[in-house]
Amino acid sequence: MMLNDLILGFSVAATPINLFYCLMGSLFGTLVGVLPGVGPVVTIAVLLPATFALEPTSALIMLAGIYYGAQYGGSTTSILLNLPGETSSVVTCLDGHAMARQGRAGPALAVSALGSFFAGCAATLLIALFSPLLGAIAVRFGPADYFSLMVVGLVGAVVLAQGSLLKAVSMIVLGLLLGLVGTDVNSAVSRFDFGLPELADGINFVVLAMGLFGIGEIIVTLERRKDEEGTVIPHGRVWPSRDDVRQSWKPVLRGTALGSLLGLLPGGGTALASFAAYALEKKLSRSPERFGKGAIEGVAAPESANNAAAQTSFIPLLTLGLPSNAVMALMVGAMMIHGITPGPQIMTSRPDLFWGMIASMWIGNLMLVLLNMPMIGLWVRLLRIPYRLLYPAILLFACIGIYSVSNSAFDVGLAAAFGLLGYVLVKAAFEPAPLLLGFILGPLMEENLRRAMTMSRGDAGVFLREPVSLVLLLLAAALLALTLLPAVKRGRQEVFVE
Amino acid sequence: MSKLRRALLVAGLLAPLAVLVTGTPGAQAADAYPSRPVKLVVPFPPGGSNDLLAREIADALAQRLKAPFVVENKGGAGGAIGIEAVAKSPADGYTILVVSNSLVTAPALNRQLRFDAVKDFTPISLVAELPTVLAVTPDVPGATLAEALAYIKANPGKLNYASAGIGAPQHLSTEYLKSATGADIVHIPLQGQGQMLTEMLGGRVQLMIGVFSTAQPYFAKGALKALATGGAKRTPAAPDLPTIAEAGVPGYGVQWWLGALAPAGTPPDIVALLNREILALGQDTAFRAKLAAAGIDWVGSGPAEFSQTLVKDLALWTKVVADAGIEAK
Repeated sequence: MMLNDLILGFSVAATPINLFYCLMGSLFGTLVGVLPGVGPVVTIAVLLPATFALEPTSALIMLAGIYYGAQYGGSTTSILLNLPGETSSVVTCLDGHAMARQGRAGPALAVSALGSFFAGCAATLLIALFSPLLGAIAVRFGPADYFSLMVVGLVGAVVLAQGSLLKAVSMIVLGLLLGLVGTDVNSAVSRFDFGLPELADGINFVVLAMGLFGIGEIIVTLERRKDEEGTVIPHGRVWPSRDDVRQSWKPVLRGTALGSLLGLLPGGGTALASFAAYALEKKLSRSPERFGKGAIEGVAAPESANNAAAQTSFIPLLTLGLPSNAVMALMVGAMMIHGITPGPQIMTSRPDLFWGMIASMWIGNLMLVLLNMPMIGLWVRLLRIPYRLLYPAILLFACIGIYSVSNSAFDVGLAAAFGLLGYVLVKAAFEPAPLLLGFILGPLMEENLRRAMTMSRGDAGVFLREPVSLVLLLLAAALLALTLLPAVKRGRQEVFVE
Repeated sequence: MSKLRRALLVAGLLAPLAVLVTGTPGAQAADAYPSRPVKLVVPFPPGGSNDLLAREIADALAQRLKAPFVVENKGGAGGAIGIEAVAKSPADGYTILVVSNSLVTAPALNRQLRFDAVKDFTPISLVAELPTVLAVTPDVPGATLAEALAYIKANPGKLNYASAGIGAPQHLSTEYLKSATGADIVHIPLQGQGQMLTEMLGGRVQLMIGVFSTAQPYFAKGALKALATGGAKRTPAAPDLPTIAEAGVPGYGVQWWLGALAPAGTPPDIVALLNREILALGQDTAFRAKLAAAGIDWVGSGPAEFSQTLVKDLALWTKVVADAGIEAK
């Protein structure tokens, strides 16, 4: 039965037009992954209006390609230049760049590409195997369960957030507050709109993400670029030695497993996956002191993990209609544009789209590994485009993208304001990512809380009576308890010091 | 003095020039409409029936009238932003509103709006309507609406109904049903028909009035039961399904229409031309088949009929909102 589904998927994904969009997506993704400051969120947001004219399947195949393509591309600059193109490849810098300095850039890039390829294939298979299962139980997942799942996500974001705990919490809270702007679901009263009808539907996610990340990052980069411009280190032999393979296959497996798991959770996401995989390898290693000084495990594990997570984060989207990260939230938008409501019914109502997208992920991963291995040199040369030429182009496309979301000049101004906020946040060493998580999860959490309460006629006990909800709440409590344990806290800091 | 004289002189010299540039008044009137791109404003984001209909109309009219017809999505505030933008556009026939009945439900909800649905627009045509369905979960016993309503009345306040949000047609149509039958069933506002179906399939919500086409896949498998349609007449999509009025709620009838309107004061000849051209589209079987595939039924009314519908529906929804005691700002 599943074989038939996969055959249907490949028959959809392997049509020339879909292969073309899969290649375009992977290519775009790798490109934006390589460029610091341009991420998949911005790219997808910019390209979203351009997909209006496409078949929904082609559009989603391309957007998905951008997403996992960026995971590949991001590692290249991290390793060669110590410049993470993606938040998810920050960890790769630690050992990847150390390897590059030792003249082992080739093996580092190769292990990262091959590890990602393995993770991508394994995760695609996982989606094919378990999506139907998750989809079947998805309609049983009620508002109470969703609410508790959001609680786990928010707590998880706090526990594993990078850097200062207080700052992460304050960013999440700010995100929650921004998420409250707009019409209240249960009473239709417009909140925090300052009398502006443009805010009645809330702040558009694209506007916030483009402002905070895209425009904010440009301002920061312009200020910093003089003293942080890296030097290109020539890469020697590409293929890893037998020793490299022996050392990395286990971390690749573990990274894939961990990434696949975290990708599933809302609030997990790829950045979290790569960090967790790195931390795990360091804990398991018999020689943890090598980490940060060119340990190939420190490249293999996080790179596999972020790619696996990039793939499996499609499961909640495709089966529950739930965006597990910022990119998935954009994918929801992309589906809605084409009149497709993500949810459990998508697998039965649009099997061509569902399985076509899954099959395209495997094809896309193959394309990416073929693309990345020989073209590493070219990607590096792209970085030599002077930033003074690059950033006006990025800014222009960002403005076009924001305006075209709802033909609103107000949104462009709002994004500019968020750009300034993004700059201030970076200067004050606040991570904007938790803010975005709060912004996405907050309104969903509120909606489901109030929905569950309406359905239970005001009885809050429903959250403890529903078995799934109860388990999730206990999990959240356990996670919270872990943060309060000072030993864990010290461990957290230890990883960051190096 | 001399300044004034010079000004008069200049004006006198320029006057013939102005006529040369703009053409004689007679020639201007003879300029065939449309001589430049016509904008069809959709007050919702892309996707959805309203947008789809506008795009089909734009393509077809562009071919017939040999001029570009461009769809512009101006979403926000439940359609209010786009509707208001058209109300304030020049009444020259180059800005047209393609809108759902949110044009009349929004004012009915007492929202503070900066447009008047009746006074600010010249109706062109009520182009189409969306067939609606009243569906229940298999948990609700009975094969007819009357039996289902009897069960709901026997269990007051215990069952839930789904809508696409406060003030959405799904909400208002079900509140109308509640007022007409005295049924006590709790409103669960959701976001869009996809969520409504998910909650229905999960059995947490037992009843909905929604768009027929997207709910249809679940009727064949018995996952949901279709009891009646919401319109005044049966829909061609399901001719065997009775209307809610036929099934035991006499007088009930809601029309989720989609229409085209111009700003008030648009020249009558342009309105007549657009109406004629839109009605001609209805004669094209391929065009109607395209709409039917998207779950849209062709109507194609005249401007006067549409005008009456606007007044009648505004009164109906205002009464529904008042009867149900819905408060919205």
